[in-house]
Amino acid sequence: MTGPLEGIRVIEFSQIIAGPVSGLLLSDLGADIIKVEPPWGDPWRAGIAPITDSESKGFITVNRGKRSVCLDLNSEEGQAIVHRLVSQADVVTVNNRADVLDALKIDYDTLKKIKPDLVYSEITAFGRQGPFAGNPGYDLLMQGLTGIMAAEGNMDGYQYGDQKLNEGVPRYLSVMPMVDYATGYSVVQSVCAALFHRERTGQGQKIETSLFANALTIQGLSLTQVENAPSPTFDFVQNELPLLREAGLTYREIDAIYRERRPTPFGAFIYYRSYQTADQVITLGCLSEPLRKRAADCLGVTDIRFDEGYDPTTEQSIEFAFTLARKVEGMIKEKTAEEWLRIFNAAGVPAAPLLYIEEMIDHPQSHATGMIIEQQHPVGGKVRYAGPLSKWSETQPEPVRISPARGEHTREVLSEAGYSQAEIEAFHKVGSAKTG
Amino acid sequence: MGGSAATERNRERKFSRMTGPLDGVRVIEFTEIIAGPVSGVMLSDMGADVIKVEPPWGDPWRDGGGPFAEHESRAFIAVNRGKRSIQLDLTKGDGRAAAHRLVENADIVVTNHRPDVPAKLGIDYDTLSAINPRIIYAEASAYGLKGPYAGGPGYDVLAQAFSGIMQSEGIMWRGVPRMIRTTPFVDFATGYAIVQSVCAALYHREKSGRGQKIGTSLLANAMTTLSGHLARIPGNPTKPQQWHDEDLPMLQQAGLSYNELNELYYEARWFPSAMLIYYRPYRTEDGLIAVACLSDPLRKRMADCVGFEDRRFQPGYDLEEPESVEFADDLLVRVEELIAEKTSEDWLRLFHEAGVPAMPVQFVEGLLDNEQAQANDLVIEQDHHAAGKMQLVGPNANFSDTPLDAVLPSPALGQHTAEILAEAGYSGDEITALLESGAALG
Repeated sequence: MTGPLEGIRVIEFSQIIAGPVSGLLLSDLGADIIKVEPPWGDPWRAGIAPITDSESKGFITVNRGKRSVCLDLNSEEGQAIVHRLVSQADVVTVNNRADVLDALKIDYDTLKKIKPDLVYSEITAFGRQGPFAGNPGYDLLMQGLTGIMAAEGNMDGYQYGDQKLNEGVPRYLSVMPMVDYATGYSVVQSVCAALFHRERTGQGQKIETSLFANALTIQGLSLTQVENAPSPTFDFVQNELPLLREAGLTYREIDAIYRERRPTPFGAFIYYRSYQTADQVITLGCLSEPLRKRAADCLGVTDIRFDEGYDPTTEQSIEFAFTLARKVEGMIKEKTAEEWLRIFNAAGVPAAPLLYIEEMIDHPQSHATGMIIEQQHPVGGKVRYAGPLSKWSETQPEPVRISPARGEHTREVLSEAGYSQAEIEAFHKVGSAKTG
Repeated sequence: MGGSAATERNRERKFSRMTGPLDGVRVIEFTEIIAGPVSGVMLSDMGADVIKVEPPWGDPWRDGGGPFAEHESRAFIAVNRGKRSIQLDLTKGDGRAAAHRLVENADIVVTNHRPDVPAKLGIDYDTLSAINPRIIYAEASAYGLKGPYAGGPGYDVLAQAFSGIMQSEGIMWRGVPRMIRTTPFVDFATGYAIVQSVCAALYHREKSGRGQKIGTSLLANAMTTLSGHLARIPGNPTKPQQWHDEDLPMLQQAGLSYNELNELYYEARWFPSAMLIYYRPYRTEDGLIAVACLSDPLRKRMADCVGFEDRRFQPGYDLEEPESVEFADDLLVRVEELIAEKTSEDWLRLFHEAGVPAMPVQFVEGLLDNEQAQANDLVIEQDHHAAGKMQLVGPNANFSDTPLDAVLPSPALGQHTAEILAEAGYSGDEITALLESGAALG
C-alpha cells in the first residue's frame, strides 16, 4: 500500500507553482502523476535558485513524485498522444488560459468525450466570470488585489547598503507564495472528493477553482461582515476610503488611518506575539482567556481586562494595554529563553522558540515526525526537503520519485500507453514527442 | 457500499442535502479555534453533514475577535458556517455515550486537541474505531505525535515562530519579528490538509471497505508551504542556508542582538535578481499597483512598457558581480521614479494591453463588494441567529456535477443538541434526562 490514491493516474498540464503543488500532494497520496511538458519545459524549471538551465531548487521542490513526458501539443500527433494518455487516466489538472486549452485540445469538452468519467480540475487566476476573468494571475497580484499586502502593512521598505528601497509601499509576503499553496491544496481536496463521488455514482466532472477564490478563503476571518456587529475597518473601506482617495492622500497617509480604525491596535497584543528574552526570542500563543490568565500568572501581572464587563475598546483601555505591553516586554527580558519556555511549558502556556526556516532541516522535531525526506537528484545530487504532510494508519504515503528531468519518462509512458518502439521513435523524429 | 448506506441514512433524515460530492457523508467535529473548524467549513461546502460537538463552555473561539453577543464573534462565525452544534459534557458517562452513538452513524471524525486529550475524553481513534471500524479519523496536532515537542500546544503564531516563517518574513516590530497577521495561514493550510486527507480516505474506503486514522500537524503544513526554502542540496547551498550553517553559530556565540542577527540574515537572503524590479508593488502617481513578471519574456515586455533598458537580459550576465548589484539598485530607483509619473489607471491599461501581469493593490474589506468576487459566487449572504444578515466568503471551488452550496450559518452553542440526539435515536424522555443531568446541553 502506498497511499489512498494508489492506482489513480493524474495527467498534469499545469505549470509554475499552484498546479504543480497539487500534483506533488496527489503523488504523496499514492497517485501516479504524469507531467506533460511542452518542448521548452515548464517555465518554472528556470525558477529560483537555478542548478542548471533547466533545473532549479524552485522547480524541484514542487515537482517531486512525478514522471515527465515532453510533447508538442501544437502538433496533431502530440494531441493524439495526449488523448490516448487521458483515455487511460483518472484526473487531469490544468492552469492555462481558456483559449490555450482550446487550441491545445485539452479543454474539458474535448477530453470528456475521450474519457466520460474524467475528473478535470482547472485553476484560473480570477475565475471564468467577472471583469478580470481573462487576466493572468500570480501570487503577488493576489496579495495586492485581495488586501493581504495592505492588511499586512509592512511599510518599512528594504535597506540595502545606504539605500532604502520599496519605501512608502507595502512589502509583499515573500516567505512563501501562500495563495499558490492554498490553491494547490484546494485542487487536491476537490479532486479527492470528486473521485469519491465518481466511485459512488460513476460520474466524473469538471472542478474550477482560482487563486482569487483561495486568497479570499484564507482571509475568511477578515472577510466576514456582520450586520449587527459593525466593523470600523469595513466602515473605513466602504465610506471613508473613496473620499480619502478623492482628496489625493498618499498611500502611506491612507495606511496610517486604516491602522487607526482597527479595533485593537496591534501594539496592544500581549499574549499572542514574540518577545525578546535575555538571550533569544520566544513567542507566546494564547488565544483563549484561560490561557491568557495562566500567562499573566506566570508573569505575575494583573490584567484588569479580565474583569467582567470590561470594555477593551475605550481610549483608557487601549492606553492600559500599551502600558502593560511595555511592562511585560521589560519583564521577559529579565530571563533567558530556556527559563521562560520551561516556566510557560510547566504552566501549560503555549510558547515556542523562534527559529530560522533553515533550522527545520536538521531539527529533531521534523525528523521525529518524518517530515524531512532525502532523495537523489540526477543533477542536484542528494536533496533533503519536506516530505508528505500526513500520517496514515492504513495507507501511509511514500514519496518515491524525485522531480523529473524534462521528458525523462516520455518513452516509458508512451510505451505503457501501448505505442510501439517504432512509433515512439517516429514521434521523436518529427518532434511531437521529446526526451530531455 | 458504505457510502451509499450513508446516503440512504441521510435521505431518511429530515436534514437532507442533494448538493456536493460529499452528499450523505457525516462528519463529527471535535475541534476548536481555527485549523480544525476550517476543515469542517470546507467539508460542509462539499455537502457533508457536519456536527460540531462542543463542550459545556463552548468552543473558546466563540469569544474570538469581533464579539457581538454572548458566545458569538465574527471570527467564530467565519470558520463555523455550515455546521450544526451539539453540546455534550464528555467527562460525564452519558455525554460520552451520546458522542459514541453519534460516531456509530458517522463517516468522519476530526479532532485538533493536544495529543493526550482525546483519550481522556474517550474520543481517541482506538476507542472510536472499536465502535465504528469504518470511521475515518483525522487528527491535527501542533508538532506531530513524536519528537521533543510532541505534546505541545499549537497555535498559528507558534507554528510561525517555530517553523521560521516569522523570522524569514522578518517584519520587525519593537525589536522582535512579528507574525504574519493578515491570515493565520498555517491554520488554514492545516484545515485544507485535513479535508484533502479525509476525501482521499473516503475514496480509499469506498474501494477497500476500510477506515483509518490520519494525522497531520501545523508543523507539517508550515513545512509543506515553506518547501521552497527547505530543499537542501549538498554542493549547492543557498546563501541563507550557508549563513545559517556556518555563520550563525559563531554570531550567536559572540552574543549579537536579535536586530544585528536579523540584518545579517537579510543580507544573506538578499538576491539581487531581476525579480526585485519585476515582481513587487509600486507607488503610482495616485495609488498602488503590483506587477508580477516571473519569466524573461514578461520582464522584457514590462521593461518596454515602462521604457527602460535592462542589460541583464544579455546571455551570460552575472547577477552576483558587485557591479551588477549596483546596476540593479540604480535601476530599481529609476523604475520607481518612472512608475510614480503616471496614475494607476494609466499603468494598468498600458500593462494589460501589453500583456504584463499587473493589478491594483486593494483593501481586504473591499472584497465583499468587489465585482470579481461576486461574479464568481465567492461572496455569500446568510442569516445568523444573533448577527442577522451577514456576508462572508463562500465555497472556493465550482463542481460541474455536484455543485457546492453553503446552506447553514454558524450555529448557536448547542443549537441542535436535541435535534441531533433525536436523529441518533434518543427518545424525548431520554433527551430531557440528558439535558437535566448536564451530560448534554443546549
